[in-house]
Amino acid sequence: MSPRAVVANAAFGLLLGFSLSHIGFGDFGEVHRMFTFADLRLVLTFGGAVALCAAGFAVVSRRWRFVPRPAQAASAVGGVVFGLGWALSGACPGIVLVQLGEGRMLAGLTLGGILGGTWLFGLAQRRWGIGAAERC
Amino acid sequence: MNLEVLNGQWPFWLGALALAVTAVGYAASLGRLMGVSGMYERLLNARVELSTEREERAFQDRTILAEALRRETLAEMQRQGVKDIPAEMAAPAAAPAGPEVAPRVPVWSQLVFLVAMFAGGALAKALSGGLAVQAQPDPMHVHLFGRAAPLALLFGGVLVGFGTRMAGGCTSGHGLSGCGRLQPGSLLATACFFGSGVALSMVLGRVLA
Repeated sequence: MSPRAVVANAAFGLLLGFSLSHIGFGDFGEVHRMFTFADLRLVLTFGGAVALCAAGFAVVSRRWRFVPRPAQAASAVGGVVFGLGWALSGACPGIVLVQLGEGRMLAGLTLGGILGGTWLFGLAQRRWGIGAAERC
Repeated sequence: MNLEVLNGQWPFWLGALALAVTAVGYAASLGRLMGVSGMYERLLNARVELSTEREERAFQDRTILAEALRRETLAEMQRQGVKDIPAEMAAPAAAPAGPEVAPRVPVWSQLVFLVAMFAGGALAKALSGGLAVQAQPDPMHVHLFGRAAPLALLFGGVLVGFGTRMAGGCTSGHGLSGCGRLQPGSLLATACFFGSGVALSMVLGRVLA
């Protein structure tokens, strides 16, 4: 395993976890106030990040070729299911790890649910042929 | 430590900058997009991922591929007795121009990323003096769900896992890396997960609060 990949993953994982915690994404109340537009700080944080990413990727895409992401039915249906889960649990796959790091023990239930749901979708794909959008 | 950055909640511009530096920096240094739900899936299928990595390594160098193709084409032309073989066919092939496709990020290094995210959350709390084990559920969560709060975490988690795999990405892969590249599938998925999150939270806020 290349040392470069390990160092980059460790550094950016640490930066992401540290930032999400200070942004307040690990706090259910903050996430709920974002989704109800009671507080626009997280909405602006996410929107601003996407805008800055657009500028950054315009440069990075000259060096690297990334997979295209066409719009598919599964992108929409999967997105809706994910959003419902986020509103219920206050976590997305990255944030649940930050919550655990912050000492919120009950996030263990969310993590168990996410791993179970990931496994369940694999089963649904094999058994019933439910289609997935291409992976990021 | 009494630095503002290490203590309180970040203003929106600092949060936006940090998230963008992470997503763009990851892509720039590894040539692959950062996507957390994809890391879960790869780790759950680690055995298949490892064999794919081995196969991919054999085909990584595009110069070697281009050179092999040139030699075979030249040999075939000679076998068929082609008279006017182009001059560039005699010279060793150069790598094709344009952006490169980076090798896969090794699956075990993705586990490092997930552990580092956990450590990042702990570090943020430790440096601001607030790291403590909380066995109690979040007050706002209890306000909405009462005694069903743990069930909402578990069931919500299942929906998150199922939905992100179906959509092929989550907040990082679609939201940051995909929307940042203006990809139609990512813009659609992000609009859908944000939209359904807003809709359900509005309903929960009205009905349960």
